Amino acid sequence: MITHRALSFIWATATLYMFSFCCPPARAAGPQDFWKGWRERQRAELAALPKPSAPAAGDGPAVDRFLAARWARHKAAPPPAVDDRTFARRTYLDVIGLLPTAEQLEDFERDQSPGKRAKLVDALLADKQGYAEHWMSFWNDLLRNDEQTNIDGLRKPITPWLYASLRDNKPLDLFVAELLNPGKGGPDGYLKGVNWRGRVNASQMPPVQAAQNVAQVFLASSIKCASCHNSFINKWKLKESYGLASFFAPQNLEMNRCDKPTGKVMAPKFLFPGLGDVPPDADLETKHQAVARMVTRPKNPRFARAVVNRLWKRLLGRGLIEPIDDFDGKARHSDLLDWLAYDFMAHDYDAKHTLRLIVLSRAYQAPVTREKVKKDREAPLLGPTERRLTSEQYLDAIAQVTGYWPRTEVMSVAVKNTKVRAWRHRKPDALATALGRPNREQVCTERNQESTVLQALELVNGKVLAGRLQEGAKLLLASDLGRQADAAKVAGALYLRALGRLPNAEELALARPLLGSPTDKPAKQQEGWEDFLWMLFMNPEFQFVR
Amino acid sequence: MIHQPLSRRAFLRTGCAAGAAAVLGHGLRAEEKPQLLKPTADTMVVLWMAGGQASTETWDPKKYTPFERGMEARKVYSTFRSIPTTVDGISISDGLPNIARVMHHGTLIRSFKAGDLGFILHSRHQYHWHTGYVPPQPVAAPHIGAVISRTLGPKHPDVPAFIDIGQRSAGGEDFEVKAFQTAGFLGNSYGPFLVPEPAEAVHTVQPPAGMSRRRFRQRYARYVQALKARRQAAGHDPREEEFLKALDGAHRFMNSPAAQAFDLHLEPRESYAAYNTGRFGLGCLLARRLVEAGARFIEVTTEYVPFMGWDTHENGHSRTVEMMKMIDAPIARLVRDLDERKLLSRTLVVIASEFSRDMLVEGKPDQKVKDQVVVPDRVTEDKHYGMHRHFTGAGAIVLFGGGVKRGHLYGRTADERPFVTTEKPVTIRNLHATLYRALGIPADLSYEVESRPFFVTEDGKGKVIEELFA
Repeated sequence: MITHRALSFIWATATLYMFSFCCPPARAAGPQDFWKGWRERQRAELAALPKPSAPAAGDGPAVDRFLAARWARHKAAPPPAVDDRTFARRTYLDVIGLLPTAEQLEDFERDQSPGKRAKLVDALLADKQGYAEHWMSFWNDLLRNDEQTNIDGLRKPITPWLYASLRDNKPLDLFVAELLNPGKGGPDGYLKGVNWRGRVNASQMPPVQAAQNVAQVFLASSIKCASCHNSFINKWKLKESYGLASFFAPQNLEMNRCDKPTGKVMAPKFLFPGLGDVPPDADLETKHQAVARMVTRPKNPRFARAVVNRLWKRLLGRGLIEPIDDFDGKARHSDLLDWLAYDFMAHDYDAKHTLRLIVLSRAYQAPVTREKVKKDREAPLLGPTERRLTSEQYLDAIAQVTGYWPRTEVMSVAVKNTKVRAWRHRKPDALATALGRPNREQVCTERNQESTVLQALELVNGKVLAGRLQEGAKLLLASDLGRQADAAKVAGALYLRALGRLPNAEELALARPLLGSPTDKPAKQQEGWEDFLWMLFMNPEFQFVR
Repeated sequence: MIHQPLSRRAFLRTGCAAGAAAVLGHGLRAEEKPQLLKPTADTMVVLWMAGGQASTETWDPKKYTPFERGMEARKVYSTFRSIPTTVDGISISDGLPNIARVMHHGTLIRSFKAGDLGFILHSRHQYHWHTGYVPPQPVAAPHIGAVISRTLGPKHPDVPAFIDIGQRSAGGEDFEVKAFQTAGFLGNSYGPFLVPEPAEAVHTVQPPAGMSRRRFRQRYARYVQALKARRQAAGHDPREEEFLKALDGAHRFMNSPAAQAFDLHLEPRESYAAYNTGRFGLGCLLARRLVEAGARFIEVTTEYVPFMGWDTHENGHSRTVEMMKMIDAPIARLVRDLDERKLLSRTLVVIASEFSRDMLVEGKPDQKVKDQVVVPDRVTEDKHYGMHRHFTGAGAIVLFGGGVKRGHLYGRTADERPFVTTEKPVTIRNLHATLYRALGIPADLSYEVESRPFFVTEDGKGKVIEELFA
């Protein structure tokens, strides 16, 4: 058996090999030339890199052969696949962030054709708007894009650009390159950062913020410590942080150690060698172009792996490499991640392509796994971890069941959807916050999924949810369901909408007195339906992605 | 798991299990227990004077300058007379007569120097005061209440450890205020239990509006039954258990005797009336009831809304009259009530504001501040009379109980303009070190975030002001 350590060594060697054969630094191209020929350059560069191989043994797609090898290493039996309804609910929630309707579930279950799971994934990925509306939250968290405050124009949201990019499934290399080299009319809010009026500590100047965030999110390196002094938690030095930050500054930055000027100006220098250079006196546009290229080029061993690892984590609950924000620690390696990252690049950095591979993998299709994985140990990857619905998924799911989509102040992007989904709410209410929608003052790469009493109080007696239940029950009572005399039919329909299944006999017996019948007093029925909905929305089957 | 009693860890899942001792150089991780000092206080109450309270009009009066039309602005020192307190050598402004009568219970600091953060933004200084760090920060800094909640846990298991009373929306700076009204990276369990409307505090422990207690009880009972009825997945499910335990904790909390502390109608009429100067006064009453019930950290704010409350950009004098009326009786009553109930000795009450004000000087005299209010050289209208500009050269902090000296004055400021600190300056870092010290928390305690230690005082360098302790 190849040990973890040995694999790390192989990876380290491969990385060195890649670096040592880099092209000489090209002179920066002019602004018009920068995007021209982008795809061809990326492809040509990738073609010259060694292609990781997948295990030959085993059946099925490459990802599954990696998984089979891993399970064998862990002496674990291959996990079974979940049933169609479970798979569909999971996939709808993960790809478009919504619950499947009762009809969609039924159609899917009834479909006998082979490859129907692949067809479902393809159909969901083809839902441009659904996909974009779901993934906005993921990217807003990573890019800390929000529309909360803007005093003195010190912050600038990039919401319309981000939405359009996701809707059009912009290749992620271009997506990130545009963030780093926004030019005129591009998403320049990203590099502008989060600023508060007044004097700022040197380690939080906008270019340093940009360097920290780019390093964390796209390069899985933490230079936050090293933005103030040489890091005492990892290898990064102050001059390396400033070298990266100078790419984002009109004038190369003078290094500050613990907020004290050192007199030494750092020319732009990328964190990893061999990916390119710019002359020390390059102008800002040249520097932006250079850093956009260095981050996203195939020769950069970090970018594709960091991004693909985030997608894997989002769907499986655990990264192939952990921690997802820091690949610098003890040498880490995942042969599956290397393969997926290469494949992602080979498919022109298409996030949807990689998501499709992940969803159709045997790990994603396995029942949720609850085993604890020790830090620094390879996880057996027997299935996804049990994930709590995100704040946005939960609020949208409630709206789907009741038909009540609350209207409030929305983000600055035109979305052709009369239903205002939760991500668009400009000001998160107490419920959204309690459920974990982050304050985007900082990058958030992982939502807090913890259940706490403070959060539960919001669910139990919070005004916001109480209001949604009232409005929701009202709408439902006014719909065809409200005229349905058979409580079993009502319970059945709502169970199907919320949980994708019918209630069992005991559950139905508990629901009957609450649902009553159309001949009951309206006020009594209203209360009963509210309580029925509450029970449904608190059901762990509803709260979690399983 | 659903019927377990609400444990000490239900609100606050601090690692009460055998935790490793803090080792220098690494921050405490999720389940680790901190090493603490012997506390002089078990509870802390911050009374927040939101918007920048002029210390020369409250706790540090200078020469009284009555209004005269056409007077030179720079000759206006204090717009209130000073009155004696129960402590020899301490006078405060006329308008705080009740607090003057309880001053022997406390220590008055006149030499607090708020950070000089350039263009002065209230919420930024408030963030600094409440976290010890200047925003923006690369990680989400926790509020002192969250640090205390994480470090000490709830005092009484049924009472949330960190309760924040009185802040609704801060309008244009709403999100800035929310940025520090949080547990930050420490995690939501240590975050504030928000009571924006103290008069309606009881609603936070009651069923939603329109729902009877009976219906509320039945809803939950039915829910628990339905849980048993469903098809159970095999095996242990820690996430689901955590969720169900939290739901159960919420129901237990609402039914606990401690929850009655939130019901201000249970307060005798005389006492309710004595506190009731409005939302802030009722917030003080709620704070007292919560201290009795066993809260760990409470903040009551006069509420920050730009250009409102203590944010006196004009009409400084007349608005300060109103603000003093709002705070005087309830603060004095809170101190007296806690003392009578033998709670003051273990409860540290802190009155503070993000910075002070002056007539003419804003920030540094040589630094022009963006958007600063233009104050004419001569006071020609009533609205010019008062302290209007932001000032960080000196400010006041009042401490009562909790092991600090009683009847003590600390620090000194100039008697002539600018009224800067001349003796014993107090920084936020050392103030926090001192407040934490009272609660037994060392200033160099740190928690781990993104593999880095995050210290409870900036860089762990806060120095306790020993002289303040009795």
